[in-house]
Amino acid sequence: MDCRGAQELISSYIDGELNGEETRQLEVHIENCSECRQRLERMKAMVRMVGELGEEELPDGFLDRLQARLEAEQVTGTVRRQHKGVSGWIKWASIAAAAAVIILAIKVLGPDGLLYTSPKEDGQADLSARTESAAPQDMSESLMADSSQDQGAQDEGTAAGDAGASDAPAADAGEQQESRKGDFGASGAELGTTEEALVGDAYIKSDRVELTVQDVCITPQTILMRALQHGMDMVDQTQDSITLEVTSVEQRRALYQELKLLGTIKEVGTNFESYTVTVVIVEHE
Amino acid sequence: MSDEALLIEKAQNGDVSAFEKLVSLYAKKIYNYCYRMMDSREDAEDLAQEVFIKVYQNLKSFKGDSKFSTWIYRIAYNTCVDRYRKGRKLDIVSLNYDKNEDHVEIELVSNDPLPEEEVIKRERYRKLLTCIAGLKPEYKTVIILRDIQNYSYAEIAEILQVPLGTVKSHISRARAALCDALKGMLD
Repeated sequence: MDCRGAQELISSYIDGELNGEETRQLEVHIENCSECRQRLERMKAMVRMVGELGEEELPDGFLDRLQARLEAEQVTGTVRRQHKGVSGWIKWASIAAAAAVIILAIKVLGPDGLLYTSPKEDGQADLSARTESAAPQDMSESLMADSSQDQGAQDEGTAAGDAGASDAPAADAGEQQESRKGDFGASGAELGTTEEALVGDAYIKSDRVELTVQDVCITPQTILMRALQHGMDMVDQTQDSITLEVTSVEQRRALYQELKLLGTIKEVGTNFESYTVTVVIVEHE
Repeated sequence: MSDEALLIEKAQNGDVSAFEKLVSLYAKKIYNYCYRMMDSREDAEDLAQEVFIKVYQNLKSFKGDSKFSTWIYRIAYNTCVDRYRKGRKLDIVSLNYDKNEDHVEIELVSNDPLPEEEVIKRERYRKLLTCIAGLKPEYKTVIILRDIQNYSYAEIAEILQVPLGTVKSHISRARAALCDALKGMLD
């Protein structure tokens, strides 16, 4: 082991987070290297100092002020919920009206008719035509680049399951959970080749998606941390959205896989040739 | 069912006193976490209260998939990061500790009529706090959670929703940066 390797392990060594072999190698190196020995002692001293900082007491009146804010929130929260009820009703009425128009359009154009043409991109043409003509009523379904996709599968989660079961190399739910918590690299490795992706895996196709989440903890920062693992850069960020530079189909698939773990994805973009994808976080009502 | 789980269930069903007990269990920890993250008592109080308001608003969405403490800390971390993004500018300590650049250098001035040893100790801690305050949020948070609040690597990974390897490397880099910034004071 050289000094560089030793430096990388010293912190974990202090916390007892190294395996037996790593510990042995580091201890042998430290025994023979005064500089790394000194580095270890300095870091131990620093960790001890930080540990001695201790905790501050809560400021006087903290809980009273919190209670007052909670009470105020309860009042405004009730008002907000009442508004939500109305907007929810309007939303469902709009969806019903849109569905009626789409069914009518399918009948008029016939089963093979295209409601809209999709731009040809990186050999996705056939795929796009199939998925988009088959289920245009739910844009989130068009994310599933699986030619055997059942038209009736409305549920995004079910659709993902079908794709995995048919010919996709997609990870199963357990593996996806593992990749979320642990090794992001493994998640990428499971995605296979580009060719496989085109026939069996899902990806973000347009320049804008809505991510409906249940968990208040999911913020643009959450998405950024995941995107960085796949080499994507941030272009812009607001309180509830993030724009990422996405330069390959691989990255679009990786982004899809990451977002799927966080919530329900809906494609809302119209530009299919953009090098950016904006993810808008929508809290589930 | 543990006492905490019982409190959570009661609070989810609208029991205000159960929620107050949950707050009292975590208020000091979350306040201190926010205080170290923001390096300001005023901001810490404001943010800690914001965290508990979010907890209150979203309590029903807590399904018990993770520990309650982990869930609260995740909200606290995101709340602090959001605050940074809304305009708080920081002097970031460089984590590129191989190069001699951006090291925090502070004038050590004290007029306290204290024994020299005590003065030196105070100054060391003041410099340490300044260095911690200057770390980027993702590095600062691992130092606070690991070295001040004694959370395990696995718990930190769950709070930040990042792989264990990322936690290890963040802790290692943050500590190395602090050691570098405090050079000469640790021997």
